Amino acid sequence: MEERRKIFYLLAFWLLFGSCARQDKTRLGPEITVGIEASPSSLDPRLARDAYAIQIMPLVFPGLFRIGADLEPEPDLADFFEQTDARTFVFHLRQGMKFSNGQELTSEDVKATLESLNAPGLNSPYLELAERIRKIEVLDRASLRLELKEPYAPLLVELNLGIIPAEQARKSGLRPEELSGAGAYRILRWVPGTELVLTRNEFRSGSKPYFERIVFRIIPEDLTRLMSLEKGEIQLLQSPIPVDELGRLKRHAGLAVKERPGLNYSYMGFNLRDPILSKRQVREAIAHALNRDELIHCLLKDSAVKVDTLLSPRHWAYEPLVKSYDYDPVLARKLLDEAGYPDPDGDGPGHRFKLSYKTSQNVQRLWIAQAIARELDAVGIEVEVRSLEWGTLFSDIQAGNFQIYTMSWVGVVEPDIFYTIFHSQSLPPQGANRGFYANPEIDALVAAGRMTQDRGARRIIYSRVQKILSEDLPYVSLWNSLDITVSDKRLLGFELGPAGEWSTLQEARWGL
Amino acid sequence: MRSYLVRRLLWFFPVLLGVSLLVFFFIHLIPGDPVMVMLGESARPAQVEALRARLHLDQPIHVQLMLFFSDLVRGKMVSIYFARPVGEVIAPRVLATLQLAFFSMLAAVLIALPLGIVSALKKNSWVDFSGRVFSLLGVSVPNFWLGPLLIIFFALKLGWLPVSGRGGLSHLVLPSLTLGMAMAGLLSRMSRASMLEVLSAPYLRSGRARGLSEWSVILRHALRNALIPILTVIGLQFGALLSGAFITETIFAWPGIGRLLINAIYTRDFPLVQACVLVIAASYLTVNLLVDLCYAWVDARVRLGRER
Repeated sequence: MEERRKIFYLLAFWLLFGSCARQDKTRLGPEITVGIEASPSSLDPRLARDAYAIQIMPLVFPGLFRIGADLEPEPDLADFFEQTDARTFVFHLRQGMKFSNGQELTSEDVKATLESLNAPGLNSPYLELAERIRKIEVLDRASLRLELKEPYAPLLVELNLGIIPAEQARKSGLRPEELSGAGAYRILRWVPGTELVLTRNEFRSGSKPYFERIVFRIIPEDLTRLMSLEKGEIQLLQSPIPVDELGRLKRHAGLAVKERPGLNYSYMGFNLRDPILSKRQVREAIAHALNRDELIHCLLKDSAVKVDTLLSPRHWAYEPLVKSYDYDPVLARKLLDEAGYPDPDGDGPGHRFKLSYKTSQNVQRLWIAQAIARELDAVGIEVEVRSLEWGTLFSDIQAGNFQIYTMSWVGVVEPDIFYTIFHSQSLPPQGANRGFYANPEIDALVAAGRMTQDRGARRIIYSRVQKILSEDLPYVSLWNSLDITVSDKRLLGFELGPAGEWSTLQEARWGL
Repeated sequence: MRSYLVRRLLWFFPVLLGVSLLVFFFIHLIPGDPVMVMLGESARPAQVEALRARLHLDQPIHVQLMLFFSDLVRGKMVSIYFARPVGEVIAPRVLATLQLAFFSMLAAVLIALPLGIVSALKKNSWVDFSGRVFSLLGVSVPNFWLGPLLIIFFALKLGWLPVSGRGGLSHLVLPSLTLGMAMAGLLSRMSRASMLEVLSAPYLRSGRARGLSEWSVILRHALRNALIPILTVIGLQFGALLSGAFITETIFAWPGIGRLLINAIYTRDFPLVQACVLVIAASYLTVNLLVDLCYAWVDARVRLGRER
């Protein structure tokens, strides 16, 4: 009995205190741990299109092209290419590229990967790309000809799709660990919802990356991710970051904070079939009633920049000379009066009309919605904020079951997005024209932008598109979030890629 | 006892069937088109139709129900989001949640039982008052506040414990304390009340009169009789821990079934939602059965399944 009691006490003591050793936060090996908010939806490059996949995929599965500094495509696995006519391209691959299974990358692999997008049951979000291709012809081991059904300007951007070996592309149901890419790393282990571990692709030619392993740890809670970084359990993270913590992080001696304008565009969308919101003056009044500077400063702690168009100021097709809507509640009231919605009792509690405003359950989004509701209330518009679970919100927006909503477009790179969002034929489920916007001039312009290959000509087209949209106001532009990365100060050589990718982790290393 | 056990085990099946039916019908009440939520706006009509057919959503509801049971019985349910059999996705998560629930329960019992007993023995003293304040704090402090607080103190300030993740025992301490604290509050109140009731019973006076030591009277006779209601609460709370650990799992990046279930609902991964709920229901039933069996062990007067 005495023995048993002793064992019990020892066990209890060990459980409580035995594992409470002080963690070593200074030791750094040839490994880096990155904290991310959620798992990529898939690790098959033909299936993954979410923000996390876009960040991680280039390390493992590079494509023929990557996104360059001014958000234009530049050759990656492709060495160079020729365009023989508006619909035909010949791609020449870089020599000596090898997959992580040791196999050489050939044009047959590119062909098989692209053709597999059509495979029944794969449900690839890149199916539209496959449907645009008429024929792919292998010319030799390192070159292939791709013929489109009709000219398609976004082709090269979409060819950043990761390439996998032909025999893997023809199989289905492969585990991520079984997939091989030609990137600097390969997938060692994926525990969905927990961690993704990459290890060096030993077959890759050229200099080896400094980090032998990159561990992506999934830490869903923003604050916990931040505290894990402070503790040294992870060494790098990217926004979302609790904005209240930014100031403290910048003062932290052991951390480096980097900020730059991002590609995530937040906006307020209108249902243009709504009798009130179909009037442009009402939409203009709403735009003038919003004090975006104050919202950015007070709620987002300056972690975003005010914008007036969908394309980032970093984008090659960005048009700065669009109509801007400054905060002017007096003008907003005047516009509402002119639109036929006079204030029934001046400064009294009565409202001109009532709107329903749908948003997600994200706390920050909810704060923003409540602040916007107060601002609209100040010009006589009563707003009922409805915070919905994401799936329900998305379904309502797609079905046109809304008056106003706020959302974001994430990682806006290709200006052809204007076709998806504003062409009159792009109504859900065929596209994302959720507010039923229709303008024949926009239809013609975005169709021309999709067909035109010349960058100068496209720039003119999209400049006009942005100007018209700023006048028609199917969206009120709110802001572009900053891309914020916080890392251990000893991390050298890491910069976010142009579209937010973590490709430069293959060039990064620990400093002293 | 054996026939009782068999009877209880046989009850598992109708209960699980009922839960399956409820989950099946409730999941169809969630607003929105699940296929569009899963595929997003870039989906082509052919893809939408293909996934609808794969999920049997193009079939009448009674056919869907039959197909659901067929997949369930044959073990053919596949997570749409992870593209893996649900068993493969759930198994490590169940283990993680059971581990967390067990250690939370252990922490709660280790804290609450001594506190409740001492509070009852020293009724209305400062010890009792402190114990009651602790209980009140335990049940009223939300774990989304307590968790970060414990991290700041034990992981960041003292550097003793890790902030998040699942690893060795050190990773278990903070999430177990966070999750176990509310239960410790409830259990200590319950054990205090239960002990107070038992301490006034005449048989304890008889025990003392027969010369038994005070410890023997309290631990062997009083506590044993006070344990029945405490065990009931432990059983119910353990079940609640399995399904209700979502917040703690999120704070500590603990890869448990709660987080998996919530994410499955967000992504409309119907097979995974159904499987998670069934596993939680089965765990709940098992724990309650174990608690019932413990009654007999604790109290000899309880003769389960014996008919008179």
